Amino acid sequence: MSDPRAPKRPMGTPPPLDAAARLEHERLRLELRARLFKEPRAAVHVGGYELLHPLGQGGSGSVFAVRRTEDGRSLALKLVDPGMPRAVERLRREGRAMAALTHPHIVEVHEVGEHEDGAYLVMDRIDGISVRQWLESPRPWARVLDLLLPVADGLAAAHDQGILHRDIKPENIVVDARDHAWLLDFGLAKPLPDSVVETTSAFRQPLTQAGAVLGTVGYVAPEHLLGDPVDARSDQFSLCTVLYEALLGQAPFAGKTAEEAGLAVLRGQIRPPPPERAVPRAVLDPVLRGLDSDPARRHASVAALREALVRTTRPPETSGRLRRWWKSLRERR
Amino acid sequence: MTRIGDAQLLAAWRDGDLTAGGALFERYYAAVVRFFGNKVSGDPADLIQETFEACTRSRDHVRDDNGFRSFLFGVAYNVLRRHYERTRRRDERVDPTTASVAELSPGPATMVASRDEHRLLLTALRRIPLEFQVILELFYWESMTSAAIAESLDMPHGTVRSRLRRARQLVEEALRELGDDPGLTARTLENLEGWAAQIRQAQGGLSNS
Repeated sequence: MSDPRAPKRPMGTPPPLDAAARLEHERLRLELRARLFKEPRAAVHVGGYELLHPLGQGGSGSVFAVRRTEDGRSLALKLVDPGMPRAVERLRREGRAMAALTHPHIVEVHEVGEHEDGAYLVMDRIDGISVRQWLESPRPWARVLDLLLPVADGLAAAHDQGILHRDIKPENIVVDARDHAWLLDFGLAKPLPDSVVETTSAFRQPLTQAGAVLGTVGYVAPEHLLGDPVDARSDQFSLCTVLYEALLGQAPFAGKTAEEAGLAVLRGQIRPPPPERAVPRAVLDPVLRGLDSDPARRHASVAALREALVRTTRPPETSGRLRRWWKSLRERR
Repeated sequence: MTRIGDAQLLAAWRDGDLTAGGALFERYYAAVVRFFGNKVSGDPADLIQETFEACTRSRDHVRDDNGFRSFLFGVAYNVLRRHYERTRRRDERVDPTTASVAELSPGPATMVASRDEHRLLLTALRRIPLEFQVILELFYWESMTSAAIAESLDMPHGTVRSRLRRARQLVEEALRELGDDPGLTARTLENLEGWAAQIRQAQGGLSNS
């Protein structure tokens, strides 16, 4: 990038771009060059995939829309910068495990590969909106469960394979046009507290943007925040924060700063449900149990949490009047 | 291998040699990416594109054939100012001598730094008025002389030299305000002394490219 003729300057060297930014600029450079100087357009490749355009940026890397050269199939490629060795290692290890897992609500992983610009993972491309966006219009609690219980099933299947997600939050669940939810970004997130440090000081956040951490801090389990070992119950906690927010329209743990939100998680200070939201106790209680600060007091597994919630969605076997009442309750927000 | 000068490439490009134009483009693409990287939040791709398109259209208007680089950064600076004016309210003018990137474009910049000192410095740069930031970065990152910067920004040479000096003071102040880690601030400030020496050199009228 730098001009070799330029004299060495102590702080005058601009910092390097990360791998994804380099690739994206390479793609833009070729595109622009082709247009301005009427040259044939050259494509940028990572492995056997042609980069099309960036799709977004997650905590552990950038995602590009790609075309597989062998068959032209449209896929998504996640690239992790070699400067983040732990994220690269995790991508290698868990990406391979993910490739072996097939579930209708977990995005399929096709390949994990290495590239000079870092490790990459190729997965199905899901066109849709995040649960965060899906929740912008209020949803009746029954629809929330219809959407998210299958995700819980997918997560339970991953846990059966020994794979943790580690970063479940509304942004990592995508809803497609058929209202089918997909869990993204499996096991790729860096473990906290590293990611707190990363987010506040290193990862694409200027020093003044501490607020950006809030999104993550409010969703991870207290043991995760403290840097203690995490297990499937930590994922259960995170899934319950998403469920709580989806059902009640507000995140269970919040604060003006990341620190405040983190403290609320550590102290188990759950914001009380807003009075205008009518969610039956039977639905809320299993979610609250999953939000217990003590992992031992949560459900034994995500499968058990799911089972407890599934029970609430079955209409009670009673009179027609009660069933109608139940039905009307399900339609309420 | 001898390097073909900008002036020669520009002349050939004007005569319709697109390969020469492509070579100039390659020579400065990375620098233009750098230019926008620490000044806009979000994707600077459109601005990079706009800059090169404008350069292509107006390549016949480069005043001094040796000054393609100054011309290019002048265009980039105008593109940047227009970008800020577009993103602000219509009645509000952007004054690059007082408004900083931190005010004009809050949010993460696209330029990422791996070292703490760099990160702190980048943040400090975004806090000083835009014009001062541009002058400092062109001087340090693009190794431009104060005379070349003056041509770029269409400013008297003396003004650029005094702004270079002032810009350094402002960065120092911003660094002190920002630093919650005194050790890091001290280390970054120490490195600034290196900058200071270079600024003094430039004040003496020495060329650095």
